[in-house]
Amino acid sequence: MEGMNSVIRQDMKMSEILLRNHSLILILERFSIELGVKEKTISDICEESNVNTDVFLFIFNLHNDISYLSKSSFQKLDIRVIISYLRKSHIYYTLEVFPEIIKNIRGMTTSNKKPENLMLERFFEEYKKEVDEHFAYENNIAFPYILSLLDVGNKTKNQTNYTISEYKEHHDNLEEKLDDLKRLLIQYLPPQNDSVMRRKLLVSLCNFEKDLMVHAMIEDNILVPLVEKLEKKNS
Amino acid sequence: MNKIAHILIIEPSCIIREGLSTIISQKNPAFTFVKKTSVKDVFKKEDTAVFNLIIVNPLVFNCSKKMKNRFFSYFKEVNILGLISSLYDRNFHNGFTGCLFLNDSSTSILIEIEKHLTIKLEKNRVSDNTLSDRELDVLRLLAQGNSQKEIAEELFISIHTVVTHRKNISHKLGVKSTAALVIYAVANNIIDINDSLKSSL
Repeated sequence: MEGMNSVIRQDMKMSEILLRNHSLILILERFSIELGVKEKTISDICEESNVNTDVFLFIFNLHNDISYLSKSSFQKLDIRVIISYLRKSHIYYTLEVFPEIIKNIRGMTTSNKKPENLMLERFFEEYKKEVDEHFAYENNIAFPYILSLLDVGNKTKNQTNYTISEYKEHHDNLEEKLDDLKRLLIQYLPPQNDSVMRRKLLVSLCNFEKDLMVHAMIEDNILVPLVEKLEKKNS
Repeated sequence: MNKIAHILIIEPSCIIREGLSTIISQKNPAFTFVKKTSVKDVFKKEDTAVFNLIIVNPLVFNCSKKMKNRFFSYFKEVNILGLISSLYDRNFHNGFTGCLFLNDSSTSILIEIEKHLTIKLEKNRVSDNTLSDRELDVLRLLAQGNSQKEIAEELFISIHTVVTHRKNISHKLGVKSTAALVIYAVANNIIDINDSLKSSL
């Protein structure tokens, strides 16, 4: 990826960063930040849009370069803001990414009706079902639980025995099938006049995979440790 | 159909070999044939491109995948039809561009011959040596929707061995989920699309 080599700081101009790493444009809408950023710095924009600058910068840097995780401390990040970001990503995947991938699969099967190609759509539908279930679990069980922990005046709310460790177990590998699909398209499905559509499909899959990887990293390596700390503090 | 074609027929049975070439010649007097009973001496020919079509009984490979692969890569420029003369496993004719069956009428034989003299060779007819014969057996049964226990019973091996094969298949192909392995198996003619419908995908 064309990421910037250095760490992104809050006094940097947003436009410069977005021009140097266009994949970061995607992150803006998850914080309800709009384009047309003029000459403003990151801290200007965050302040203006009422966005938590620390969380924004952390996630921005992580998408720019995943090794940022080991370089910086996330201990003081606001859990509520992280959850809001994750929820917005879920919506983006469901409303935009999945329909686009399915459209591209259909595009590929119109130009090449071989049976194995027709099976791809069903394969992806199955995968999507798993991911949707996973998102629903996070949105409806895990996130509300975490938010209830933060609700200090309401400590008794967690009457179930649910803890974040259950979330960790539930968090199985969603990347495996995505990887299989890429492998089939790159290596095993014989070509037959479908190269343009196949390329489009692969590009949409790879973009999603990269985004999902950082998403999972935020959940596993930032959210879970933060909640574990909170659980200890509350008990 | 007044073309000239040079066809190699490899078939152990004299009746079948001569019968087939007669059927084709009656309609196509200009066609010439090389007739063999086995694959042994066909590799000696220097120019492999002399044949326009090859018709071979898969039995001559003695169920040896290695021999079949060698044959297919040796004649990689030529369409190869399978000549199916006995009860057989449907996967037996994988990799052939088409098949002739003993109960085919002379018309359908001629149609098949004509078809494969004119259509372009399918580019993906490459013998795949990635998986061993046993791994192919396991993959086929797996892709047809059998459980590990059923596969073990079918192949007379332990479930533990099935699990090991399954792991090795995923490792070799880089494909982990069963659903994706089914697609791999269909794309590589290891199973028929209709077989895969039985499986859970």
